[in-house]
Amino acid sequence: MKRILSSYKVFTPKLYRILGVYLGTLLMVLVSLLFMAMAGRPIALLVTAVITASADIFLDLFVFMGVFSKDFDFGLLRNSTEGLKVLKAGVLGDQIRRFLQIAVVMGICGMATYSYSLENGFMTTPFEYGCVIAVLVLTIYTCNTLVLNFTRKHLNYAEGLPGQMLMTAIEGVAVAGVLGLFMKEGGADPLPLLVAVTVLAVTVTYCMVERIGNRYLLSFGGKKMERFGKDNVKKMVIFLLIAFGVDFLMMPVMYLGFQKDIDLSVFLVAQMMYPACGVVLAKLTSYNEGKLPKFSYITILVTGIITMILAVLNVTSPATIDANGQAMTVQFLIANYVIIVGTILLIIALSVTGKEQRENAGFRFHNAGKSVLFMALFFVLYFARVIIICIIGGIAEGDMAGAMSELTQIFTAEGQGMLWLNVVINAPLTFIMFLGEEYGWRYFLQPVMQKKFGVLPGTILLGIAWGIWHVGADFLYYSDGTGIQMLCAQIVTCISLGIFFGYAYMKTNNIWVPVMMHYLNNNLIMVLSGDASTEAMQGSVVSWSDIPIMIAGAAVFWLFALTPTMRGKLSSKKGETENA
Amino acid sequence: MDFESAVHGEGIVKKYKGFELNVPVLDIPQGFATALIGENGAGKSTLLDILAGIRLDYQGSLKFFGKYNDDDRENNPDVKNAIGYEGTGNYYLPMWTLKQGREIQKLLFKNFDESKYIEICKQLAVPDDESKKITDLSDGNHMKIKLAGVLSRDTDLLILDEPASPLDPLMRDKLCDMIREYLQRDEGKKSVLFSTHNIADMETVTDYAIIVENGRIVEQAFVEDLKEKYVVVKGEKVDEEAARKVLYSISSSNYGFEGVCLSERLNELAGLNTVVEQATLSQICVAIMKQNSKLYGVN
Repeated sequence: MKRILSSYKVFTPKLYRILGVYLGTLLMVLVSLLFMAMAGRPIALLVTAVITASADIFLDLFVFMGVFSKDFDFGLLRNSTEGLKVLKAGVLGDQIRRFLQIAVVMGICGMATYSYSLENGFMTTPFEYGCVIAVLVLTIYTCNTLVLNFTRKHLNYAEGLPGQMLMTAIEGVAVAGVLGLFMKEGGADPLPLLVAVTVLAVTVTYCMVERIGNRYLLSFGGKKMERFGKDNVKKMVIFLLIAFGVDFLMMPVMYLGFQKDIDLSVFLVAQMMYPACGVVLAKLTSYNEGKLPKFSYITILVTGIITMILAVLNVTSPATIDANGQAMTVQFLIANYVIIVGTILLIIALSVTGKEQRENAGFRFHNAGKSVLFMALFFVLYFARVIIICIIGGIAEGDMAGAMSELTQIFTAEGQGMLWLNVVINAPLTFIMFLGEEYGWRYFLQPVMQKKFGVLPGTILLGIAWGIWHVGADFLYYSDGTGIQMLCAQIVTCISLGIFFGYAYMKTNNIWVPVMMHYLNNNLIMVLSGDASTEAMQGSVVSWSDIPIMIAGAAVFWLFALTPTMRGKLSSKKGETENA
Repeated sequence: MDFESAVHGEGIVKKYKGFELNVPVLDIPQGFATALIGENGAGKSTLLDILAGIRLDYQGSLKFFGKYNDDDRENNPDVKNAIGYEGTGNYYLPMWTLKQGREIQKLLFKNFDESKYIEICKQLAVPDDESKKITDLSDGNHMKIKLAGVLSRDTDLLILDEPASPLDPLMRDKLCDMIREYLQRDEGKKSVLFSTHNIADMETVTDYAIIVENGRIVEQAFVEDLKEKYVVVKGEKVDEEAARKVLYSISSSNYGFEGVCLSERLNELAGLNTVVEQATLSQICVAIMKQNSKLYGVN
């Protein structure tokens, strides 16, 4: 704490400027209080929120820390081993200052509107009201941090102002949206949103501090972290934080929805994007990655963020509609469209991106012939597995003919043609979700795990991690009261698929191969169950006795663990692609 | 002459577009003042940055004070703190005042002696008003506070990049005094390495000279040895052609010529009417630089 204070003191101009910033925002509050006297009070809260957001950005000019500016090369700081610590402490101090500033202003305004809000049924309990204020503070803080960070990075300060104005306006809309959620009759539940924005605020603060540290290390000629082997560790930490951290943090939110008996399908959509978002962030914050396909990366990131927000909204303000005779939440419907738009944007992005960028990001379609062959092989194996499971089931129940007719139903039953067509049409419209997972598992994590634990053990461990990653969905979505069995079944499935996906990826070095396989794996379920809705996956009962049958069926994939590629060591050529 | 190395480097290579610094072996003698002499763009600053750890994207290995390598320099605060570096970079934030400049140094360096800093600033006639912005200072004053900062720390090695350039002659003299004083502070332990292209001004304080040309070290030795190795030869116009073959560099006038020559080749001048004088460091350096410079081609 003392270090933060003393560092911040050095980096910022005189104390009166900081006081000025506080007074400035308080002045803004007075204006909004005036507004409050004239208009309805909850509106005043909104006005204050927007004013605070813009005041924070504009008054930042007075306490601007030059370390953010484009041309500062950290001079004296680099002469000392303390440099990085002092710098980070200083930037953290700045963040705390900004947070306090927003909190103080919103707090005062919140108190002013407190009694009115409760009397008029705008909020029901003081706790809820406090939560709303906290959500607002954190939203403004997070958005402002992003706006400031972005403009500081890309523009010098004078140029930045128009851009900041524009972004503040957009931010105002976001804040208004947040507030609007609570304003209506029987408004949203603020608690899950509070959890979500707190996570976001902490993440953003961390990124802000890390980013400046990154630039500092870059100023040494770009090799400092590589020299001391920290860059890969950092990349891994960021990936795990996003892929697993966000996944696990969304579980409490999911649980709240589960308790309220809301359809949670949208969580599964959002969840699939986290691993790719983790990789994208890890690669973007690293510096020795070469040129990266920014357009594609931003598409992935934005799709992930939007679906995540939709997942939170799904719980805070659920609304169900009827689409083609199937009940789904509005958020899930929107998420589906977001995925389609995201996928189309990604296709455009990939087609306009240069070869070098696609190579650096691992997006190139290597070994086309072999790749198609592998996809076909997966298709065959997938049905081989189904047949095996059917036969075993038939033997166990002593009803072979029944099992066989069930099997032929897949191809001959009425309406199956439509479902098959669905599988074909959806592929080019939704593959971003499957890239979302495979980019994290196969592209990013698999080489690291294989290097660390050996090829086969690494692949199996990855399968276990991949299975555990599904834990929320296993307990709250896929199964009905048989969460543990479902989780075990999931892990078995993930290990078996992981072996085959991993093998195919190692053989083709083409990420689109596992992406397509993953797509088939998830979508063929609809064909198998003869049901196009998400209900095909939901609320099934899994018993312990199902698991050995699954393992037997998955044997077709386990066979690939015996291949020389999986049993062998990483060749040096493979090692190179890992480092790239 | 044998000596202990404050810094020993092997195989230091740093490539830029169209330029390559390549130093197979480097030794900075301990207990002496070493001058790094060279043209603009010869690679002096790059070499100093590499030694100070301001640039880390180089190949090769370094050894400090006989026991620490370059990873130690980055990870062990004792090593980094023992090196005082003054460079040409953007040292202070635009809005920093002199007071903040002082405070940041207090934060950054455990071995920073604040009272000494104030004292040196006073000696160097840095403006008293501490609320003045550092960027508003003149180049000379800017250099003075950088030097005050680096000299008020308890260091074992000073690395100074062009300390003399922005200073006036009086201050250059003062700087030489301060370097001498620094070297005497802890007899034989402390070393100074500075770069300069003002050889004449810093000659009084230079013990050891390293001449860098086009990314390569072309000559390095103690100044006394250099003065034994090279001599100045003066002669009359008639002998100029004969002497040209032997002399390193030659400048002629209507009355005669003057040039630098290797002492060992003096006997080749026998028979000519010449006067041999002791060379100054700057004469030697200019001769060597001319010999190797891209500007002059093969002389």
